[in-house]
Amino acid sequence: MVSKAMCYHMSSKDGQPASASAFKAAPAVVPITDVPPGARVRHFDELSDRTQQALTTALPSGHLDINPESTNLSRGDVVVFTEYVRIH
Amino acid sequence: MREIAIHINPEYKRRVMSQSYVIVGDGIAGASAAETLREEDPEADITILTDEGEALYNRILIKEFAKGKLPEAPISIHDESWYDDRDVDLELNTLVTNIDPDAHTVTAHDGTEYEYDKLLLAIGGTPTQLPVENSDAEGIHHFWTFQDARNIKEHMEQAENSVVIGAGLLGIDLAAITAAQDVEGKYLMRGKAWWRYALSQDGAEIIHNALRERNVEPVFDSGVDHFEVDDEDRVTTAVDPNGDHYDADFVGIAIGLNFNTEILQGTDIEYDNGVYVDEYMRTNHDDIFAAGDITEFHDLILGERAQNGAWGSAKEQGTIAAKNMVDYGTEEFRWVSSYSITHFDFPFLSFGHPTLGDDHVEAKYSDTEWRRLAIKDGKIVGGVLIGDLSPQTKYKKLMREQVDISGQKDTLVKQDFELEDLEGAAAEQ
Repeated sequence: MVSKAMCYHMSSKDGQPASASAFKAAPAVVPITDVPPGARVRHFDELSDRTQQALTTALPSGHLDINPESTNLSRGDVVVFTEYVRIH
Repeated sequence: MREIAIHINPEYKRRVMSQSYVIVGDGIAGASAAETLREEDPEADITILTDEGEALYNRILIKEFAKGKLPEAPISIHDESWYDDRDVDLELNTLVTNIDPDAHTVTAHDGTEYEYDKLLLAIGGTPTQLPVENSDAEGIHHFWTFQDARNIKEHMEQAENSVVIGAGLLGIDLAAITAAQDVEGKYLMRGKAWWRYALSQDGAEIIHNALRERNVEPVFDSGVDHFEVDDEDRVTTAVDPNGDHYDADFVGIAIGLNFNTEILQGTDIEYDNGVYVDEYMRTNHDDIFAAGDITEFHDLILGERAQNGAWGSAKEQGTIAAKNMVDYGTEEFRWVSSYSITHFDFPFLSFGHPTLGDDHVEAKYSDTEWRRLAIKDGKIVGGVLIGDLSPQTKYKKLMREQVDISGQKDTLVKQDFELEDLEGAAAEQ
């Protein structure tokens, strides 16, 4: 049998915010394919109802209409949903 | 000699004499209890005993690890420093084999005895074994612990074909893992639909199609009669009750949990399938509490005993139990749980008790959008949403507040349902 080579792509495809000023912008939800090293990863089921609602609403537009710091999410967190997304 | 009676104010005594708390189990229920106990009782002695060899990890992310999508690091939640920082004594690889409620002690497998003032049982469950020939063969996996996930991932990366058994929320994780690892799979189900107790054929068909798109073929009216093995006792074939043979060098079984009630035998702690607790998470013993999967709790919303294995529910139960261990009656457990499946292009979420109720209503909106609500005595007690999760907070609110929705079932499943659409008392929630 052939062992399938597995590797983790540890750099973020969407990348970090382009500059520190990006952190001042409204939080956004960005789909990613690779989990950045050190990122906190949360499953959708770990989020509060309010955060789940905001996240599912945000996904088409990408705009997260909540303050991540007031929920159980922070900028940089990765959430496992139907795709992997990052709070940017 | 004259005797002097000294009366100590119980509250003063509580403050000056540190309490000793022992928690059995370091899953999310036990760990959240420890965290809350430390917050509520800074001077307490807190000990966690776990038979696992590692500290708390994220049980609902281990499927992502097994798929090969996440490395190990994000799965771990607590390293040992977390316990040191909170002055919590964590004893790994420690299996509790006896509880003596009268002596206020628990005993570990190596004979070590631990005294407690208050005990929390967060002892969870163990995967149910399939009672058929060769079910313990090499290559047959259950999926519960992080170590199970490691074994599954390692095997799956070399597997050529697979069989998955267990048409429920854990079984579909195994099916999704085979799909993600690009291993051809057969998903053997006893009935005609996946999770047939919560979904109708319409709802289940959405899941079936998603599985087929991922090269996992649902096989209905099937199951396993026995497994065939090679000379080295490795599984080669699953044979179903119809006599059909399915080649598989990987088999995943998820047919449920046996709750770890063995250590309660010989005690007078009340239990059935799980440990009986009240709404404060206390057993029939004043100093023994329970939290997490193991509990059969008094569900204030449902109005009867219930059991729930969802992560959020277990975490909340641990927190509530801890508060009531410190000061009984502080807070009730009143919770609408939910559980999502994120393996497909569309979301799936179940909430409450979707397999219960005396009535239901459902609607299909597209090939990937469907809803079903379970109703008992005119009130929502659970549901399943596929494709569009936006109504979940509304349904949960109606369930949490036990709103009577009699006669308005069709309104509830309007695609763009709003709470304002309800009439009468229901509209006043």
